[in-house]
Amino acid sequence: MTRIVSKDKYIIALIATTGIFILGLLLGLVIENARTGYIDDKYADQDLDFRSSQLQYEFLNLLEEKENCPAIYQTLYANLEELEKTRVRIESYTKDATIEKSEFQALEREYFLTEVRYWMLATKAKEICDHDIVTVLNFYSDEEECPLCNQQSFVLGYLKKSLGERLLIFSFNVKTVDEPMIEILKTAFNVETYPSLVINEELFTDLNDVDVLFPVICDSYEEEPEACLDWEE
Amino acid sequence: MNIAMTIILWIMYFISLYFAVFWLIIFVTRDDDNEEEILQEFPFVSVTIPAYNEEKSIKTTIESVTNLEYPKDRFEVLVVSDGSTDNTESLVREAIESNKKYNIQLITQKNKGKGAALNKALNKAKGEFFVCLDADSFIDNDALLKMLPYFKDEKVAAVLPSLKVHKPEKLLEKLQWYEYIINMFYKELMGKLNCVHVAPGPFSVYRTSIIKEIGKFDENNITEDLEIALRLQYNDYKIVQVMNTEVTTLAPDTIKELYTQRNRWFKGALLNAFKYKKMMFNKKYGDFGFIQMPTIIFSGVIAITLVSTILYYGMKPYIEYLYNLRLVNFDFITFLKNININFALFDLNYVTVFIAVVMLTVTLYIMKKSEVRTNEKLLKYGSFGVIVYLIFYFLFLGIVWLGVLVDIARGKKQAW
Repeated sequence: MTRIVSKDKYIIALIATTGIFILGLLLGLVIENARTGYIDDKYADQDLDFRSSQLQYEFLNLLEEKENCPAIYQTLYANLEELEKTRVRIESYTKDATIEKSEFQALEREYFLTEVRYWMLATKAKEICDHDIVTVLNFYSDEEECPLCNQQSFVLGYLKKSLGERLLIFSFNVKTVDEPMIEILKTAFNVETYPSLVINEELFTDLNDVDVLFPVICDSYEEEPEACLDWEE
Repeated sequence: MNIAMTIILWIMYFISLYFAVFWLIIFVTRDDDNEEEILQEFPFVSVTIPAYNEEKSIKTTIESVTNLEYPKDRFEVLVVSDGSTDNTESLVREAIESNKKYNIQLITQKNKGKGAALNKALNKAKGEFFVCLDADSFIDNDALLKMLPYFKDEKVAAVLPSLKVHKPEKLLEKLQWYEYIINMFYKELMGKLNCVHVAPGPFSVYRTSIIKEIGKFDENNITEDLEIALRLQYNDYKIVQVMNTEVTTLAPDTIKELYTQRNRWFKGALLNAFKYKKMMFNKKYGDFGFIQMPTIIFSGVIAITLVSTILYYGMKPYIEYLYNLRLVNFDFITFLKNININFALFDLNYVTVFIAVVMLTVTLYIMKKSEVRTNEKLLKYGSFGVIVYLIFYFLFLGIVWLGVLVDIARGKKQAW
């Protein structure tokens, strides 16, 4: 019995499968483009929000009208929440990116700088309006270099959920962002290993759980939030 | 996910899609030979029922053979009790007594396995055609009339009926019912290229002389039905899959039984594929060497890779989450009280979504065509089972493949 090899069908199947895959890759490219556009738009909005918040605090400082402080802080806090969401999102997009990786990295850098600017503004706002808030700087790296960083972020997430707007966390990815400002910050706070946290200018290295961080943060408030009181109980 | 893993996954997606596209091309370009041939004469047929502790179904199985639309004097029924310790043998004797007009014989042997039981029957068989019917299977009355005409071609060594699950009630049986329906469609397509690689126990009809010529059934094989089919292919014979008559078989109704059955099947497929590796990508064996042999190997590799990845990356975040809870004194209530959904449409991994949509579309198309070709309605048992089948069944089969890999690595001996 002569058996045949259906060469033509193998070739057609190969062409069709390759075609479907190319279509998938093209779709991926279109989506990557759309994602960079989406982040660009977000960045433009958030930059405008930042400048607005900055102007509001400068105005308050100039006129020394502190009765508007709580309302302005609400806006600053909402902007920071939005910024954090975008930071998480852009990090995930950068991981997924294939062709446009450098564009996403540039966007990550822009967001890193915005985060620094927001931290500086929050510090200044604290002085102008006497906000009873605590700021935490979180220096982290990727899973390969810092396997404990995700666990530290988990603890910070818990603290954020417990303390709400009384706690501002600024996260800086030292690995993916190629930006001189990172080195300045690291030198300023003596950050050498990851994860590292800076709470009220005090450095905490390695993994710290809530039992360590809760008391440190709570002691920094003039008037302790409810979560701190619950914690002490 | 690291780059090496991503590349491996993409290769697996590509190969899976390639196989699916290939068989769809075979379906689209097939020449339908719908003209049913009528049997001109009635050759003598030996129907063998190998039975090991089959007291629950043996009587019904014998009854389904005696109900065959075929002259009573043109077939014999050989029931081989493979060392049964229950009432199987006495029930067979009762069946012989109450069906005296039929030629039914009971052959007994010590428990040696199905292959040995078939060979014992083969030695006694007088039929030009030798039929194997598992004791847990039931046949259409017209099975022989529909199947025997295909032996007109001298190179046809085996003809297989359409195989379905017998009266599925439990969800697990229904899932297997869907699987069998799709498999039948797939086997019909395999038949178009003479690529059928397994002759299942339920009512496979063989040309006796060919089975004897190639050395009978392999008594030491855990999947003798797959081995004999590969050996027939190796010896250049044809295996025909028909769709116009069906056999139903009892399916495992517990996860443990199903796991054991599939573990044996998959292990047997792998071991026999290596036994006949000479056929792999060998021009002499045509499409069988180029598509079917690689499929046997790759289906395992693909299943293991995809399932390991899904289990690892799907469960990793939850395991990490549980592990991380220790850092917050297991206070998950705070997380639950402050759930914050941060989702944008762009967050979806579109390439993966695209591949999933393509795969799902192909699967649904195949399911649709399967129900037409097998003359069934996939929603006959409701839509819940179909959804469970689509989402979870392949995961289960992947887990079985993982089990096979572990067993082989540990050198575990497989009993039939």
